[in-house]
Amino acid sequence: MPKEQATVSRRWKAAPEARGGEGIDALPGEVLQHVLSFLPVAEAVQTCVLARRWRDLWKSMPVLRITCEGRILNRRGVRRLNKFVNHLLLLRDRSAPLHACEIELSTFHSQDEPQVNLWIRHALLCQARVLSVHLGRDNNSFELLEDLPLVSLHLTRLELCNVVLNDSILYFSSCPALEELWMRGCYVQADMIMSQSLKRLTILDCIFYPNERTRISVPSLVTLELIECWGRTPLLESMPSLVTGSIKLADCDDCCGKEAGGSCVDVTCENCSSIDDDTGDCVLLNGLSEAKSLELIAEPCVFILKRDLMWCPTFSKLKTLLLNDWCMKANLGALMCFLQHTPVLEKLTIQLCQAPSSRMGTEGSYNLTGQPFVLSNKLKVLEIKCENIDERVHRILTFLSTYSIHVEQINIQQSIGSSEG
Amino acid sequence: MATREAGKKMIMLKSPDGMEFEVEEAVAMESQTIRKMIEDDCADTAILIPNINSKILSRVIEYCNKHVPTTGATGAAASDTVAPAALAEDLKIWDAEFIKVNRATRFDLIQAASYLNIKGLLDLTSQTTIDTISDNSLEEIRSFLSTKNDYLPEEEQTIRRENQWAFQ
Repeated sequence: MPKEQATVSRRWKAAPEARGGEGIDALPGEVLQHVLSFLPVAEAVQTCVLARRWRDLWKSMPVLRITCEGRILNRRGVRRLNKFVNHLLLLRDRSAPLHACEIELSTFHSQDEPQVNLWIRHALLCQARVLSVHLGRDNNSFELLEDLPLVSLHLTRLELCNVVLNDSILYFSSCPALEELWMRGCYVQADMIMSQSLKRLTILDCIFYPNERTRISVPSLVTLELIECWGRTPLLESMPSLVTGSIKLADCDDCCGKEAGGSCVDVTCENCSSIDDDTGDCVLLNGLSEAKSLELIAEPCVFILKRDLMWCPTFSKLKTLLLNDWCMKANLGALMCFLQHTPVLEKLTIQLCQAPSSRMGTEGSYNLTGQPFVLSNKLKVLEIKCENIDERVHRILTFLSTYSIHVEQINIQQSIGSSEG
Repeated sequence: MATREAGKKMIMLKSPDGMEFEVEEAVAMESQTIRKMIEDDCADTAILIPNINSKILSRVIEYCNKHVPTTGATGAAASDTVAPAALAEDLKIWDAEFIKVNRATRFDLIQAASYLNIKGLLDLTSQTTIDTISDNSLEEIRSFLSTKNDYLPEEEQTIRRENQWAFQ
């Protein structure tokens, strides 16, 4: 076949001419620039004195990593940083594509602030596709973009850590290419997170303090992680393309008057009464109802999931589901409710972490009578993860046999010192 | 098209020194350059990989083999049985071992990863190189990179003045 091979190999682009010499000098310039972009940008610029070939390499690096490498910045430090980054941005080659801009700063103690907002806008003007801003925890009052919207036709991934986010910045109508949003430790004051294009959303350890409950409107979302958020749990709007959802609630402001020791009359209890006529009454579950795989982890004190179950939607595509201790509440009412609303469920995992409490089974109940009892007939695997096989495991098994729920395979995994959930 | 057991499509890769490597198509497609050729139907027969010798090519294939997303016969992801976090941790340890190579080999791997457009390998090799030179003096960096300083002394002074803002 030598002839055919010759045809094939002609279709290759000409391989870049390797430069003479040993070591790193043999690499083409664009590869060196990629290597350089792993350096903090100050060090990358300093390579200009290595040799003639390196003189201008930094000017067209595709990635800028602006960092003070964990140093706490006093007033002088902030000024020096501002001077450095402004030089960098003005003197770099504007015609060279900027793929990503990463800004990572720790604490700054001064009235002068790093000009982060200016740098972000510059990076977007340079058509950066990836933007990440990580500030130190102590600076979590820094308001990103001072409530201006992000405008970019090119931005695909945005990463934000320890910043304050107001309405405009989370309203991504001017970022039509944005596919991924990752947030950690942010203080969310926005009434809405809105993007038509977003596919992956991760919200970790954020505080939600809007005037109204924050609505998350991301109709193209495929993957959602909402982990340990504080304040008022955000409301998820419909996500028809959702594949996996992972929700982990630790503590939030949502509670029912009855649980707080007061009274609960549906009309007056802010959380038990309906939220909006358009979207039904669920905060989380309606939005998750199209998912194929879900993890719903909550501390037993979390109210919002229990509340949602009063209006539980049908999860018509859900194949795998993971729940933890909270599904044991109300005589396994939550578990029963899920089994009734997941017609094609194949694998159910129950993660039991906490020691059984004597209150279990005494609080409230879900009105199950009168609801159609359509159980998944596809449930193949039930997995119970626990530290010890205690009475809760027996209750689950008894429950299954009481309701003649047939499971092909039951696995019980004992772990020592499991801390998840 | 060469095929082997279980209907897995095989691709033949040839290095310029005449060695041939038969790899699964999925593994070869970890390289975006090769993926594009396959998708454009340019890969009917053996693919000659110019500029990458058999020693380096075999290491690149080893990397791709490890990093190809594993799917079982049923199409279920391997993460069904192994937690994704554990899988990622395992890969990280494997990567750390994989990259314990001498300097020349590492630069060859950078070049191969760049040419074949394998992002994971390019990032791994670049990061490792940077970890080695970071916090070293310019002289040490020059020596590690085998770069000769070809500036005249006055030229170097000019460059330093020009970029003084970066040396403060």
